[in-house]
Amino acid sequence: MPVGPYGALLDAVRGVRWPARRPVPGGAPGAHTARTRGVAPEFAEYRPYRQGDDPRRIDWKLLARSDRAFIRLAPDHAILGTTFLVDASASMDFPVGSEGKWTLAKRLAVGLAAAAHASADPVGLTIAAADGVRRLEPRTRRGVIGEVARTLDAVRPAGSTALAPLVASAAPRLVVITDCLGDADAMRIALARHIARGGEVHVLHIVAREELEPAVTSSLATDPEDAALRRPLVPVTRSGYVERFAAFRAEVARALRADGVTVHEVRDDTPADIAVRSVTRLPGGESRR
Amino acid sequence: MSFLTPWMFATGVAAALGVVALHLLTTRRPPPLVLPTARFVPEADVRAVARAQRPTDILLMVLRALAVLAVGAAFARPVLDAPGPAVRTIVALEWSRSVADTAAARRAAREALGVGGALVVFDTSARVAAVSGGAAGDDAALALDSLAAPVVASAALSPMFIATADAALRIARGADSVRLVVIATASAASFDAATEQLRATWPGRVELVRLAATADTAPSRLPTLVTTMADDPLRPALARLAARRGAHGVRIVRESPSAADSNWLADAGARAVLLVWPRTGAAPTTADGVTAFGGAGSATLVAPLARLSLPDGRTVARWRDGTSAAVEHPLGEGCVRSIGIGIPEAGDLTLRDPFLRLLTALVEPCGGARTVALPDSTTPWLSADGPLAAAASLVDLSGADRQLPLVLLVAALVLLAAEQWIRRRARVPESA
Repeated sequence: MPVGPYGALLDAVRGVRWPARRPVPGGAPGAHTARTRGVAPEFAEYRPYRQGDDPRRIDWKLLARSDRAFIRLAPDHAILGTTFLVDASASMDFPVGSEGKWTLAKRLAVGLAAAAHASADPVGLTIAAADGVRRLEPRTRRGVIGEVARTLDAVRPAGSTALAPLVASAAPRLVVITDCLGDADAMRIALARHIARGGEVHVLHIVAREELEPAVTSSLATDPEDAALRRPLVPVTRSGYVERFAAFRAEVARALRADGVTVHEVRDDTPADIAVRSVTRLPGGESRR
Repeated sequence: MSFLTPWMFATGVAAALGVVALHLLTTRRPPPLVLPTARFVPEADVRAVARAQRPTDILLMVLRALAVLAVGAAFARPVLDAPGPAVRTIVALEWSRSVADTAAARRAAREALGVGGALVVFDTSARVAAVSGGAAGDDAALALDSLAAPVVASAALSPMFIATADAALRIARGADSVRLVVIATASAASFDAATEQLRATWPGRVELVRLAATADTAPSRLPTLVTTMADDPLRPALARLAARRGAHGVRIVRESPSAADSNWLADAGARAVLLVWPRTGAAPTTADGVTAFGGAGSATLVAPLARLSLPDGRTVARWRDGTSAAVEHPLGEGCVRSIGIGIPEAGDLTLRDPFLRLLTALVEPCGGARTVALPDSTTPWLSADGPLAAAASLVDLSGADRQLPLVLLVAALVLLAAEQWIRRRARVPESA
């Protein structure tokens, strides 16, 4: 599997599984606990037989002892299709020259895709780029991680593209990798709908260190997606900027969490494998291996 | 190069410093920084004041400062300098027979002369005798040594001031101040009606070194009194006066002047005085005051006096109400002085000192006392305290000097054009 510069990352996250945060809808057998009951050998509970149940699932021994028909139920497991929706707007091309945010976004997508793929989940990719949407449908076949990596590497962040319209076609588990500087409000609504449909949403909020702690020197801050937006970043305005940006991040996280979204703020100087383990870890526990 | 109005150049220097300060305190846009989160920066004027530690746009700053300096220099009336000391001295030396000790006069002049100075020699006329070159007073010193014995009897300050102005034109270039030292007897005869006005044309103080004047050494000639009165009251007064008056002839006629009197005046020589002093008809009973203006000062007499009629002439004495009490008009080398002061023929008035002082003033030579040095208090305007004359006000602008401001203004225009050109060149990549 040619994975280019992601080899070390994939080695680091090998064995990491990414369990679903709640029972998944039933479907093809997989690693995640499904909301349905199946016929697996392990016992879960009995249920009275109802018309229409498969007679083969009746516990005949119990029927013989109690003269009552019960169906023997077992926990069901299903796969969880995962789509990575990656923001490739110009704001991700920061810091200029090092592409810290974009690089981290790519590595997170590849690392998490590997974790999901290790759980036998189909992995798909949607890149919102200025020159068009790149889409990989969720697949479980071998080599899909390399395909994800190549698709990501072929994109250069530029322009400004809305993410919200791309949410509807995503798999049940949606991972949005973005800096939340685009259509944040519309995306929040789309994500809430996705969750309402039974989906699971993770938002990885990518933040550059230079955005958190801009240089003390005076400069004229220019928005890469809006050339008309120019503000003097001088010592007088710097503290105001830091406060307002912190308030924005807190508000975004609060609003998304209120909708049931799992929010992870990841700084661009965070090692990708650590971020992957953090994302895949269940709340209050460790990621399953 | 120096400036006739240096404050204008100082203004230009201050403006140039202002240009440099503006380049240090210039209001400019900070360098652009791509920041995706720029929207969170509080809104403010994008033109931030940045105080640079080093001037920005050095070339533009230099061009602007030079242009401002050139304009300031052009309006400061620049003149091309001549080498020499900052303070140059003009020595105006009286060289007449009135000077008692010419050797002392030479010494005083030599001491006063300095590097780059000039020597003006004057009697009744004046000339610039020498203008020193590089060595300290060499030319002027040579001119001093080569002065022949004076031949003119007296000196006049008015032509001296004219010659001094001419000398100043020749030495003021490149100097800061010009010092004028007048070495003269400053006798009453040195002053005339134009002296005060000509003195006012010298834009600084005058250092007056007074020389001893030649005394009247000729044997005293007794005044002649022509009178029919045996006991003329003037007779004893003249007897007391004889010891103090000069060598010029004096003839007092108590009656109408005759041909003999005219002949006497013709033969009496220069500056002789024929006093026509009629007798009083009746004894005056009313006290009156009269003042005579002599070269050595005025003399006033208050006594019972009668006013007599007078012909027209130059007033030499006045009554207390301003009317003429004595007049004179020239005749030949001397003059006829008509006295309209009637004195009592009885009494001791003519023996009193006030009358003698009045008589002394009235018998002075025609035109006033020649060798009487005036006290400094009578001519405060001549050597009034004050600064030395500024050379800038004395410099004669040459042709090159007149073209210099134009050259500087053209240079300023060229500098400003270059500044514009450089600014446009610097703007091209910005607009592209």
